[in-house]
Amino acid sequence: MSINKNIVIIGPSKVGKTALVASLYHAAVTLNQRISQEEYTIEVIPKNSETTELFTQVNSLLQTGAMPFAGSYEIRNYHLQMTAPDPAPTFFERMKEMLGMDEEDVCDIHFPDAPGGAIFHGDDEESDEATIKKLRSQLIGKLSNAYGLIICLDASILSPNVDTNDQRRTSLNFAKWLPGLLAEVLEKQGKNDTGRLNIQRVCIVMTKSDLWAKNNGYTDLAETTVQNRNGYDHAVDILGKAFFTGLRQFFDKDTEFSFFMSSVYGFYQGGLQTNFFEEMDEDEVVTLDEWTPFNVIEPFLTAVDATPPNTFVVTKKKQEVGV
Amino acid sequence: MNGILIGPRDSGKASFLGSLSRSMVLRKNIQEEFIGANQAMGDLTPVMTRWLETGTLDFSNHSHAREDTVFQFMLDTAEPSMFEGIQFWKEDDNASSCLSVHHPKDTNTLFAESTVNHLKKSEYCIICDSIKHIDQPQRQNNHFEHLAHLFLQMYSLDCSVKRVAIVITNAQNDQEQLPVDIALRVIGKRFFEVFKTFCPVDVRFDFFLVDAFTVSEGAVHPYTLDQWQPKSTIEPMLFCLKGTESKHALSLKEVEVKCKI
Repeated sequence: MSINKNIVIIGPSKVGKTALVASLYHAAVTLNQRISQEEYTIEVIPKNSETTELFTQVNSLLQTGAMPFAGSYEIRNYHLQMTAPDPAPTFFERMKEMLGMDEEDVCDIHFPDAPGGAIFHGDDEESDEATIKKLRSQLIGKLSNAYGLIICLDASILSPNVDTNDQRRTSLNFAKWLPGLLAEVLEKQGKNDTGRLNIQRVCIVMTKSDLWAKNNGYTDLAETTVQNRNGYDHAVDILGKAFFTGLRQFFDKDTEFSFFMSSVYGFYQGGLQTNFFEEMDEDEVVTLDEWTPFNVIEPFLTAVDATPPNTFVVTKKKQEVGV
Repeated sequence: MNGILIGPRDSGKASFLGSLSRSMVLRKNIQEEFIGANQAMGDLTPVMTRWLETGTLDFSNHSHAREDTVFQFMLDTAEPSMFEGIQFWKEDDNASSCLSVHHPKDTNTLFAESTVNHLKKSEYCIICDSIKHIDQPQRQNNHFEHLAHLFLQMYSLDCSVKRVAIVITNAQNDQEQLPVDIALRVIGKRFFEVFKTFCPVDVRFDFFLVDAFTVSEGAVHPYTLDQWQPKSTIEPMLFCLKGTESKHALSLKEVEVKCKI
């Protein structure tokens, strides 16, 4: 894993972008417990005060059962350092490691967390036109030299309780704003060898997959159901194939698209972490050991070419997306 | 490659441009891609998507509603051959721009200098109008006069346009007549005089009946993106940029025969 790879995370309001970022620190801990291999240890270190504050705030989830993030109205620039070994080192990398010439597997990740309304207009009533323009422009700048792009969408929109027309509108909201944004990034980044975006890794993260399981009646077997759910199929069911055939055109032929079912609440003993679905009593507390986020840090690692072993992910090459 | 798209304000230019990416995808060839590459191009998408959602088409917030606008895009049709692949000194010719020009309010108004300069370096010209305006002599006359004025403003007979596409929009149903015959009933026959005067003899013409608003049968608003199936809108671009002709393409001589009054 080389140093200084920029990631940009985008998605509509209330999809859970901030919660995803805030859970990264704890997700690293649980990932290390899951893998429990000495040679594979992930470390996440906050490198600015905004990131530190975010990692601290998220712990109130364990006392209240709710994420303490009401919504973002400005871009917050998070900076963290991830240390992770390359899951598939090449022969030369192994040799360099044996000879003590291996560089430290440290990756500095800078990424902005922007309000959904900066891109997906009309879903953020607090933002005015001038603010949106400014945020959008900042985001385009960040995207023009990003290596990884994380696109968040709400997995639970696929539910018998959600009106079909609302599902269609969710899909159209992505189709409405993303291609335009990427066209502007192409304009801003200038020419390169491929004529496409500089972004090399695209991770589609479907948040609230536990809620999807709950709404579709998979309460007891929620974890297995989500693990077995094909992330690509889920994304296509939400956004439609046409969205992806349009989206993929902006990317170089070597770009990989990875699809994750994800949940910051995670699962408990194979079922839902029910404490987080209803308001907790004052004397009730969930311990850190009872909180296991699912597929939270994995998309971030994948976005910098360091997918951990045994990750529940569907990865496709550009030509296979939307087919 | 530079080009120019010209037509009256209500000729369907913006929706034509806004449907190109989707139309290209529908050809289902993985090697063919059409990618919007500037803000003007990107700003068309929300308008078209809102139309899918609500049925309302409103370009009034787009810069094109106020002024002639350059749309930039890339059009890839196939993997480069091995020879093309090793031509590292050659610039990427898939990047293209198209200046979309409205007819001025009256035929005495001069075109902007920037528009004329763009025409001077243009290799293709698309003339656009809606089938709704078929058989309207005044409109046909306007097409001729605006085209003539634009080309005359170059003050040169040395025009670089090599391909001319006549695009008739809103042509939802299959027509009994050939595209060229319908196109001439919309645009008129005198347009030909402009190209005969200014263009080289090997200039090629092609005629297209397109519809940016075709959806799959039985679809109701909000349409999904998958239900949107614009009819043939990418084909004029493939002709202009790549030389992919339809069976209706004609030479200058052949168009002259068609346009003889």
